[in-house]
Amino acid sequence: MNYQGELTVKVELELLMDIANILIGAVLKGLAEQIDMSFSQGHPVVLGQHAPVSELIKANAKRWKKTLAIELSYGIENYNISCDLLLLFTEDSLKTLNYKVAFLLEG
Amino acid sequence: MSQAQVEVSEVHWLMDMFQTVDVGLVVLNCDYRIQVWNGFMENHSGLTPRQVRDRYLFDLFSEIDEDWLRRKCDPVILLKNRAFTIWEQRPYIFKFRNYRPITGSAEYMYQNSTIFPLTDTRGQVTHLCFIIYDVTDVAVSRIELESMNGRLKQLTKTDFLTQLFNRGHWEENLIQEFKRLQRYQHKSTLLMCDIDHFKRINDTYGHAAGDVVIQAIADAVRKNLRSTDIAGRYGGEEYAVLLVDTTLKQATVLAERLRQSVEALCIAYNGQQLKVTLSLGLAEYHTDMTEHRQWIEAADKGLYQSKANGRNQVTCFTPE
Repeated sequence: MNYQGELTVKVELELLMDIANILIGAVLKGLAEQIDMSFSQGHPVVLGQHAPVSELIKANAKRWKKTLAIELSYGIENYNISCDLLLLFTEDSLKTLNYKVAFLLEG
Repeated sequence: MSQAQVEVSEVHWLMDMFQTVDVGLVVLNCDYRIQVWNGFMENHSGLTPRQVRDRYLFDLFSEIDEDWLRRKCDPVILLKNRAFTIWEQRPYIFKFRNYRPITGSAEYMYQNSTIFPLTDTRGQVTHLCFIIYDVTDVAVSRIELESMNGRLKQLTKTDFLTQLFNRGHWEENLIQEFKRLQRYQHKSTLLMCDIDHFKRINDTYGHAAGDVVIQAIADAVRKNLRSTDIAGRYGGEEYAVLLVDTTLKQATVLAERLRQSVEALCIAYNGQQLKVTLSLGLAEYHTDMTEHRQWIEAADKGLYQSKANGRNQVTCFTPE
C-alpha cells in the first residue's frame, strides 16, 4: 500500500480495511459481472478484531431463519496474506439469485 | 414534442436532482482535477462549480492528505474497485465548518465517503466520482454516548466520598493480582487499616465531621502511595491498599510512615482541630493461600492485633 508514516493502531486498522476492501471488492465485482447485477454497497464496518467469527455474528443471529452462506478462502502468492470471505445471502434474495444462476447455467 | 425536446427536459430535471440531492457529488479526472461539483459541495465549501472547475484538488483543499487519498484512489483506477472512507478512521475528506452553530455541537462536518470509478464507452476508467455523506449527527451522538459510558464506568469504580476505588473494583484488582502471584514468583503485600475510635468522632461531632475525617485519611493514604499501589475504601472507616511488588519489610516502612503522618494530622472541622490515629495490619502473599479472601483475612488479623495491642500501630501477620 506504499504507506510511509508511523504505524498506529488507527492507521493499522485503516490499512487492514483498505486491503480487505480490495480483496472483497475484487470478488464482489466479479460476482456482480457474472450475475449481471450492480450491488449497492454500504460503508464497511469493523465488527471486531481478534475474535472468532461466531462471536461477531452472534448479535443478530436470532433474526435469521435461513441464510445461504458461501465461504471463499484465498491467499496471495508469496505474501503472508490469507483471506476468508464469508458471503451471506438473505432469504429474500435467494429467489433472484436462483433465477440468475439458472440463466447462467442455461447460457 | 420532439424526441430531442423530451431528452432536453429529462436532462434538465436530472440536473435538478443532481444539484438538490443532500449528498456531495464530486467528479475528478485521473489527474485529480475537479470536473463536477454539485449543489451540496457548493453550499458547504462556498466555492462555485466555475471556481473549482479544472482546479487541482490538493491545491484547492490543502487540508486533504494527498498521499492518503491517492492511496485510496489508486485501486479504484487500477482495479475498478470502490473505496470508502469512514468518519471513525478519518473524520472528513473536505473540512467543512459545521453549518448548525446552535443545534450542532461538532466543530466540523463528519463525513463518510464512497469513491468509485467512472468509465468511458470502452470501459476505461477516465474519472473518479466521490459521494460525500454528512454523518455529523450520527458521529456526535456516538461520541457523546461513548464519553458518557466512560464517565459511568469511572463512577462505578470510584467511592464517592473519598475518590478512592470502591470495594467492588478494588477487590477485582486484588483478584487479578492474586492470580498473577499464583503464576509468577514475585512478592506483594496487602495493607488494611482502620481509623481508631471512629464511632466517638461521629457521636461527639456528628456524621458530617466523620465524613471530613474519612476524606482526610483517604488523602493521607493517597499521599503515601506509590503509583503502582492500589488503594480502595474497604468499608465505613476501613481502607485497603494493595502494594504490588513489595515485600513485607518494604511494606512495613510504608505503613509506619502512613501511621505517623495520620498521627501528626490536624483535621480542621468547624473551627475545631480533630486528631485521629490509625491501626494497620499487613500480610504478604503466601503460596499456601488458595483464595484471595484468605489474604484479606490475614491482613485483617494483623489489623485486629494492632487494635488489641492498644491501637495506633502496625502489625505484620505471620502464618504459624
